[in-house]
Amino acid sequence: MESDKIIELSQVCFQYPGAKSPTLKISQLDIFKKEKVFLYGPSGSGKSTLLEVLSGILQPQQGEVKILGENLVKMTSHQRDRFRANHLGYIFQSFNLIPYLSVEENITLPLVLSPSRRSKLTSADVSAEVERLCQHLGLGDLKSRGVTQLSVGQQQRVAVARALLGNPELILADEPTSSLDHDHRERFIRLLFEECEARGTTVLFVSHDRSLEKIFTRSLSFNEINQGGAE
Amino acid sequence: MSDLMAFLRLALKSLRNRKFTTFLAVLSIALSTALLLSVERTRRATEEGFTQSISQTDLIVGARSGPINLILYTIFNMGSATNNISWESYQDWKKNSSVEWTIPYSLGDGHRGFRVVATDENFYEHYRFRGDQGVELAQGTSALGLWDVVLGSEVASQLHYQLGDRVTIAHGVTRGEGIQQHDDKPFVVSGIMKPTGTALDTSLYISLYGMEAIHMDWKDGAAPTRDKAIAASSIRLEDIKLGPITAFFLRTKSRIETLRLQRAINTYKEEPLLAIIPGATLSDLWRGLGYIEQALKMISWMVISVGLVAMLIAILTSLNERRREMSILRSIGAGPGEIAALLVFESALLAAVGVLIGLGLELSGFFLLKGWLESRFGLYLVGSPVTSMDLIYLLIIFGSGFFIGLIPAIKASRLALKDGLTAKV
Repeated sequence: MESDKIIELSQVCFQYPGAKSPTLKISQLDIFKKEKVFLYGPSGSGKSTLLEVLSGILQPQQGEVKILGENLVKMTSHQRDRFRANHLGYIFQSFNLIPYLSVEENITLPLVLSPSRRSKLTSADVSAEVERLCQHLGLGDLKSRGVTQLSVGQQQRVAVARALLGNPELILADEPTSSLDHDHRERFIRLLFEECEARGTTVLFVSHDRSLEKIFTRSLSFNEINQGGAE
Repeated sequence: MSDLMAFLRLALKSLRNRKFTTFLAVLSIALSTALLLSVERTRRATEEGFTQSISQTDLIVGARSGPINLILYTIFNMGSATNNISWESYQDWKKNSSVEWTIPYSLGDGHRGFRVVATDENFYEHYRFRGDQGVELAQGTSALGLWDVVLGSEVASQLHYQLGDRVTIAHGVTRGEGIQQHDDKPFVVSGIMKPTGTALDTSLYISLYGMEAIHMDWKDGAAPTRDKAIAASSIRLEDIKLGPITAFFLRTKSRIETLRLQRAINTYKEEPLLAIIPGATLSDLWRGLGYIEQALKMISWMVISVGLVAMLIAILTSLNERRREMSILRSIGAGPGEIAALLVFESALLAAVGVLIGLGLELSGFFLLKGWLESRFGLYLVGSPVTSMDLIYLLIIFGSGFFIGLIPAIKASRLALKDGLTAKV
């Protein structure tokens, strides 16, 4: 069942330069394809650091970080950037969008940097896919709008559309609902799940707010998997 | 390729988002480029105007002194001759078989600070400057009659003289009113010259006979007493015997003769004479003035540096606001190299646009003001509008812009590495 794993961490240790103790110390973390995993932990505990390690922005000093069976630690930084562009979608807590680009331009931004993600789609497909995503996420009439004119909820949906375009295998979400009110949060996550289920995308969702835990397929406590600590 | 285009479009949109700072950065480069090019063009025009103050004259001959002195008092109305050339020596060289024409110049008198040059018809016919530009009259006729005077354009406009006005010539060139006036023998304005942009504009021209006539009754450089004065009405052109002149211009029948003739004049047994080749002496003189040119150039380069620094500041100050943007780009797969490339492209674009606008400004400015610069300052545009030197300057400015752009680029890629996906701004 090895091939079912999309994330495999073993003996990972990450320490910020100048820090006294490692922020991350994870002996084992496996996440399987098509899972929707909820990872909770208090603010400042190193969740975002884990996501940066998973996306290849940070390099752990020890251990293996395998995504889709490929070890990020063994790659060059350029290869990791390529890998991230080709296989990952990332949703931020807030300020997800580039302010001077329109909704549509923000959504298609990953295609600028990822030839392989682009090659999955012809240009006719791109506009059809953008159209479909926008319709489904309730952004139908806003495509050519400047993103600064959108509400926070709409902005987060644009971020989802951007993360999903070109069908990356894994979506990493860093507290994307923290700026939304409770009703919107749940609706936002259900929309995200619908899209991911249709594509077979795996979701790793990080939050300090456990109220959303129940709609995920699996829930993990960050403090249980991580023996390191910020302080 | 389309990825590159999309990438560049991203940079363009980012610049457009910061319209005002972008505009300022481009403006500072454009203005400094325009300034450098203007200084360069002015320098070229000045040098050309200077070294082309006289053309088609192969030799200038005067009494023996220094070449610079000779060229200053014949071409630039500056300084004075130490001695004269006798009429006989002049005739001797004028009739030399290898000489095509000569223009005699007799100096020493003035009118309200302007010089009076006594010459003959050859001046109007043969004097040339800036290649093939000759002496042309705006109104009236050449000063060939005994009491005729032709005014340089500057003299006419400053003193508001018209055709037919009476002009009194003073002995010696003095500012304001001369001490000793030839007021018993006034001249009449017979013609006014077109502007030439040379020192010709600031002189008055009479005939050699006129010059002789006003000094006829003088003895040993002193004005005649009342009883010895000869009335102007009693002098007739035919009776006048011409005397010494100050200098003359000479054209050879064949240019090959020039050096031989120069040597012959310089070793003339009858009288100590000096013959110079005007082009060579003018170039020497210009080189002596080279420090002005250097100072102008240095100022322009300083302005360019300020322009480039302004661009650097504009880009650097925007970096902090853009850290979030960089994080988003990182999250979708941009490496630090790509972030740096984005910024390098940005500054290269600013520099390129600035340089081109600067060139456009300078060219249009110069062509719009062409007429005014020619008439007001005697600056004539010569050669092609854009020289290879200009292109080198443009490339240097663009290149410096590009290299200066590396500073924010390196800073941005470092910030991107440090911030990762969590730029806290």
